[in-house]
Amino acid sequence: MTYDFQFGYIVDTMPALLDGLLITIEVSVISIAISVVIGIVGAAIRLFEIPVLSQVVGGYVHFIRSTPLLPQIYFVFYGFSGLGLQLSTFWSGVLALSLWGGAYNIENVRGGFLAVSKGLREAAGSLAFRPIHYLWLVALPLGVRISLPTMLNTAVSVLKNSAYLQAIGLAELTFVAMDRVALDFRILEMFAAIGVLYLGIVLILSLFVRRLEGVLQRPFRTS
Amino acid sequence: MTAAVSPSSPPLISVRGLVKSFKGMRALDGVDADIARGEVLVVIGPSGSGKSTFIRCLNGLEMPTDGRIEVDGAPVQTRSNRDWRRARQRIGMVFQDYSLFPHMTVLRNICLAPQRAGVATAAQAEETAIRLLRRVGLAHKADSYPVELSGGQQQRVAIVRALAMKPDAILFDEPTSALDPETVGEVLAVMRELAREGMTMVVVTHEMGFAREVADRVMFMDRGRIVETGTPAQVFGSPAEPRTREFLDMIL
Ligand SMILES: Nc1ncnc2c1ncn2[C@@H]1O[C@H](COP(=O)(O)OP(=O)(O)OP(=O)(O)O)[C@@H](O)[C@H]1O
Ligand SMILES: [Mg+2]
Repeated sequence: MTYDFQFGYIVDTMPALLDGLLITIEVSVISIAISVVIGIVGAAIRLFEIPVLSQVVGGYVHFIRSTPLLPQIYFVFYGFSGLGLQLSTFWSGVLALSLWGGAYNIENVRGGFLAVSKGLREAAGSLAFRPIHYLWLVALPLGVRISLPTMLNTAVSVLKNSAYLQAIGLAELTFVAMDRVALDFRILEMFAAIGVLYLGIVLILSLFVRRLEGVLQRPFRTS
Repeated sequence: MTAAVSPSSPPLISVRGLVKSFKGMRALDGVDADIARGEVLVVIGPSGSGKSTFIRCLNGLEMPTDGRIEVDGAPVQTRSNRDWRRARQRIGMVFQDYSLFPHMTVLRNICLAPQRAGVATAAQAEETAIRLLRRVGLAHKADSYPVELSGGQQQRVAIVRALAMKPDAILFDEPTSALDPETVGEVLAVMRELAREGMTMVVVTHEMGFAREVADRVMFMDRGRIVETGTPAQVFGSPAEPRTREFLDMIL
């Protein structure tokens, strides 16, 4: 028995899949952006060992990293509305993914900060830099360059993990595809289609980061 | 212990009973020192004797365990970051490994701190930077990145960067120890020039020729204490303490 792979089916469902893809991209791009901000702010709090806040950040990172994402998503979706905070499905998804990615980015950025030599921090201190100036002018441009590869990993994970948001009913790419599978049973066509689409956006994301890396590297090139 | 300085003006930097412990080990064990305005104090001593710890305490890179530090007669709350930031605007530092910001041009390395600290406007800072760079023979490197410079050039830029803050004093921690022998001279020449112009300097160095020629006073440290302080002629010519003699015999 051979499977009758129908390209035509993919073409027919493409408009619906692209709608899903758009949601996937939206939720991912916003979550990645917020997770980068969380990463930088959290890592800065850890870097300067700000009392109390530093422990809170440490606890948050530990909690996120040692629990599965799916319950975190449910927690945000049901838990926050239980607390009277009404969030749409979309923004619940964004919040859950941002918190998840943010925890990983805190560790990523922190790694970059720690890789910036202690000597440069002392030099900045001896020049009467405020901590915020050291952060902004020295630690960030140098540290982020170092942590960019791990931050890309986290960004790709956020993107892939957006598929979990189907659990709370967000009509992102995987949700749409599974919906069609349930209707028409064209499993291979759907998997082929979303496989290619996910691959495509991961590729674009990687190219974007590659370019960013190039920009940040420029000052170090001789010649 | 310390040589008499001009009694009319208070010392620029005054240190009393300075102690710094690292996990119970006393890197500094009760150091008293006065550094007068315009004075060049060279600190010598064996490895691990506390020289770096001493000058790092003078601008708050190390928090003293005990003791008092006064800058220009005003006590520095050694646990207050704000106090130290104020003190650091007046006391520059040059490190063994230059510590230039690798992602900034030479010019930006120099201009950034004075601008941030409100010491100068962007235009003033740039003008000062170019003038100072010209003096150390590096005006043509203003737009280069540190990686494009030799060690000696980087260290001269680091000195200019410290000078751009218009400090009252500059601390040097083995400024030539990381340099190729052929570039040591160009950095020492700049420091000699600074000394001649009356800059207050505290210099940790193994360059005994420089110490002999430029220092107003030489301070010999061992095991976290000042063993003896005197003019170069005294310390190098007729050291009072056997420990100093031993050290000098070993390195000269
Ligand atoms: N951050 C630190 N943590 C622990 N011990 C330290 C630290 N910094 C310095 N020490 C110790 O304090 C003592 C004095 O060190 P310091 O660096 O001041 O010596 P030094 O005279 O500058 O030596 P060198 O000529 O090798 O630079 C040494 O025993 C050193 O191991
Ligand atoms: Mg030292």
